[in-house]
Amino acid sequence: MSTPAIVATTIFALAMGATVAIGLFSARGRDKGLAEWSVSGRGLGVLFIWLLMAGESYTSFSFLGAAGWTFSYGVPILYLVAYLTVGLAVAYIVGPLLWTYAARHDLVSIADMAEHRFRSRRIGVVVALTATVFIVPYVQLQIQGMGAVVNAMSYGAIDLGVAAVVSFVVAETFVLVSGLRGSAWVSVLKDVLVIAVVVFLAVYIPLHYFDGPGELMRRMIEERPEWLTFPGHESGGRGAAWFVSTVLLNAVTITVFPTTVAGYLSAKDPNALRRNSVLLPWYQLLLFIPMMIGAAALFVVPTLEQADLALFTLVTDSLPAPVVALVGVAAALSAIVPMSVFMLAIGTLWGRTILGGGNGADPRARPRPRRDETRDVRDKRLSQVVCLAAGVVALLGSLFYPSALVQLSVLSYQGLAQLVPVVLVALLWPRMTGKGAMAGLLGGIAVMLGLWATGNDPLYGVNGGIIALAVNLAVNVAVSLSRPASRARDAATAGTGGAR
Amino acid sequence: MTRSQRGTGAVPPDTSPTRPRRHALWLLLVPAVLYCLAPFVANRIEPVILGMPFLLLWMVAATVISPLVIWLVARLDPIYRAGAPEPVPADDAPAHGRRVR
Repeated sequence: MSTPAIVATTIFALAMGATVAIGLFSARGRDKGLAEWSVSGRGLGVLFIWLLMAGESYTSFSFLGAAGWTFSYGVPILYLVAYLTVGLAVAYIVGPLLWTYAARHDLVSIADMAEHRFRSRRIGVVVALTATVFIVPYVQLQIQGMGAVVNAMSYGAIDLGVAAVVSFVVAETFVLVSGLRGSAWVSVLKDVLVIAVVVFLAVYIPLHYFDGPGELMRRMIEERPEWLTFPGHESGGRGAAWFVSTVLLNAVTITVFPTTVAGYLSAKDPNALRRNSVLLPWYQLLLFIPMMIGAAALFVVPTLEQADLALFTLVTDSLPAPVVALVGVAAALSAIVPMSVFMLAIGTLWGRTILGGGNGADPRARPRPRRDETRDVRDKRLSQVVCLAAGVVALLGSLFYPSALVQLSVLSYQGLAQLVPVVLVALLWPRMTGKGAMAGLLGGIAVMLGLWATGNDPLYGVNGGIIALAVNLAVNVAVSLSRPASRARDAATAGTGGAR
Repeated sequence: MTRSQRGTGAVPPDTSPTRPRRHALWLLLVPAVLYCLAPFVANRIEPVILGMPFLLLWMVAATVISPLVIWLVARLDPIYRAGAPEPVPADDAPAHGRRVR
């Protein structure tokens, strides 16, 4: 191993050790039940929520894909900043809405909430399964992203496969023990590092390769104007229709992502979430920086083949090993934090809803013993097992079938979008029935898969997922309204007085 | 009662006598409008302001204006000022401290 590689590997190893330590220590003295593990006992204040949700929004895609897309296409990458920001505006209402419902009835996941809302275990299970299918590819993507990052920052010394396994082990260790609180604490480390590293790169890269950002901009305008307006450079039709439909779809979908919801439900009160919607958009400004670096790469390494490595190529080229290692650690943590929350969310979905017998809201289900502490701990143990299993599946996928699940990830947002009616709209529209929600969900997924399989996504530039969601809602409304209003009201209010 | 069941996570009591008007929430559409207009209204390089091509400038401006607008929404929102729970239309059970555990 060359000297830079040794330095980088050492710093990386130390950082991973620190991460696990922080994660493990955050669990000390805490409750052992499911509520503490999955939503941190609903006790996180504004600062922690901000750090956790910032940590979830800045993923390895921010270091790899953001620069890579800028390099390859140009302005279409701005959809990332757009949907994350608009998503926060939506979250001003949705966050407190989900929080209030969940806190009132002691619910811990979107499947738990759907089961309670419709008094149906079947619906809870369907939601949990749908969410799982579409989230596992994300875990795999983060693992693969971390593999690429660690391999690049160690100058090739650390193998992709080894990096993948390390990321899995680190993330699983602290999340299994400490749950969401562990992720929140590791997020503290990650966000501090990300902010420091990204701000540093914002200043350093333009000065090192150009006479500052002004000159970079000037050269972009003069030499690469195609990158600066929609649809960008050879982006496969990512023009206005694509941008608007994808931004709107993703902005609404992200608010019901099980990981985002885990963040919401962990707040100590709804105002912590409203304040988060005010403060977190500022963090999205940081996303412009990897984009700028991707643009810089157009001039420094114009023949770069793996666009996703645009940022790291410039970093390893222009900076000494210790700094490269720090950038690498920031990016690695950007994979680990979201990964940990994804696995935790999957665990929670299964632990109570699928394996744990549900939350007792369904009057037709086998009656559960009253919820108590041992029940809660048992639900948690089940969740932990699934959390581990989900991670293993994703790890195996990344090691042996790297591209298979990537295809599925393209559909991830679109698939999860189909849960918006059954999880979110259901709380806003009392007339929605279980049958309507399920019919809509199945219809939406069918349309989505149909469009994709026949090569019609995007359809005339419009994101297939939003078309599917429109169909989903239409079917949902039609079926729900077909049930007489008085019967629907009776069904909805039956058992409201204490579903425990 | 375990520690996680006390105190934190309790739904704050809804002390408002009737549903307050929350017209400020309409402002939450502003970020969406700003970004979605961009490819139609701002899809060009000229004029170059502060060295930035116009489309990019618009996007950065939208990213700066959005938190300011959301802040304004919070300031004008009576439910935020009261620290109250969010009304959940499908969950009509009165929340007057009923679920505080």
